Amino acid sequence: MEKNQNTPSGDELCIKYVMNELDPSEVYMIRREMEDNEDLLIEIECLSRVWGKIKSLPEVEPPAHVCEAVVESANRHYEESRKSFLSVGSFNNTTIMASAAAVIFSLSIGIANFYPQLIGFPAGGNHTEGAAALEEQIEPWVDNNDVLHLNTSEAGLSASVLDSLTRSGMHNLIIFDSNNSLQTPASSGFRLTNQNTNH
Amino acid sequence: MSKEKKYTRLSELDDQQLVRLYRREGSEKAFRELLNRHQSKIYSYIYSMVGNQEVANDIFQETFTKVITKMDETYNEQGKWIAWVMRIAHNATIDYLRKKKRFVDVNSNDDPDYDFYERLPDEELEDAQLTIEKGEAMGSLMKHINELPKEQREVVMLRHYYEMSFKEIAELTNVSINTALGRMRYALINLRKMFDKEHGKESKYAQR
Repeated sequence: MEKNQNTPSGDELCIKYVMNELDPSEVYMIRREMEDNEDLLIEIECLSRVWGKIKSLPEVEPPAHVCEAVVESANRHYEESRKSFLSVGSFNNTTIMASAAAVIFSLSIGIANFYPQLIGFPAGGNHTEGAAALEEQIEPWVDNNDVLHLNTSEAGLSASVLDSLTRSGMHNLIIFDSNNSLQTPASSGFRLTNQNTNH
Repeated sequence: MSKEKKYTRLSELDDQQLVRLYRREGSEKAFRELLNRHQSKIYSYIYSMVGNQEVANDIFQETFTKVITKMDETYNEQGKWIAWVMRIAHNATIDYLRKKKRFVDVNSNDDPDYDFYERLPDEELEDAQLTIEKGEAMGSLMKHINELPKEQREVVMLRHYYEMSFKEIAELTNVSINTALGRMRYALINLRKMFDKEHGKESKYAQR
């Protein structure tokens, strides 16, 4: 079984005892163990003695000129950041106005490109309004042989626009056959034409 | 008058209040108070790790340059300022050691005259003989500490100078708590062996 990384082993408990990082119950447990285990007692005493020597290491002060350089650097940094803050605050009005105009102009161009309908332009590549107008000019009719006719020649449609309208219309068509099952024009063999048929 | 009165009480303010005073008013005295409080711990840690006064001076200055310039961006006033500074000092020290690839013995080649305790303040030296003895003992201890692998040395110094818990040491050095504890244990065992060896040598010389 894999050892849990956060569960201290005997050695780690031992060093935690020396470093005074155990809770009272663990301290009690270690002390009880030391009474019975002489090796543990010796190890803890040795480690404590070495740690005691390290603890006697005094702190060393940095040289005065280094500290002064640090304080000067702190003063300089504060002054510089204050100056840059003030220079941003005193920006002249012409610059602000020019920037604002540039931002508004850019926003207008963006809106015109991406949301043309908002400002009354026909949308490029999107037939929302144009298609609605054309659909009003087309009057579909069905002859005696159940053939659907679209009088597109009167509406003056180009072949590509007609194709686009036909395809979108085909998806909206639902045919009800004699078995009362729903079918699409494609599955039922329904045929659309823009040619006049004389019966 | 009120300003002067305010500054006489700087020693009563905690670190966070001093940091705020420096950031808002650019108070040099507040910054100086912060520096005075922590400079020796930070400097001692750096110095004990690199073993060279000039390098320690440079890293100390580099640490505080980062502290000053990054304080507005990265220091969150909710956290302990000194823990944040210690992390910067530790990273700067480790970066230096990595660059120089001086992982085992930091002072043997670069600074043969290195003596950590030469720089103890004079007022602490009451008696000359005592000073020499103390200096020798401390010098010997420091020499042995510098012979430890870098990973063991940093755990010992972080614990001693920064008084960090093993959880904090583990987080700072990106290891598990048990690894940090293990490194401390091996460091103490290795130091004990070095002292034993040293005393063995001494007794050998005494027999001659």
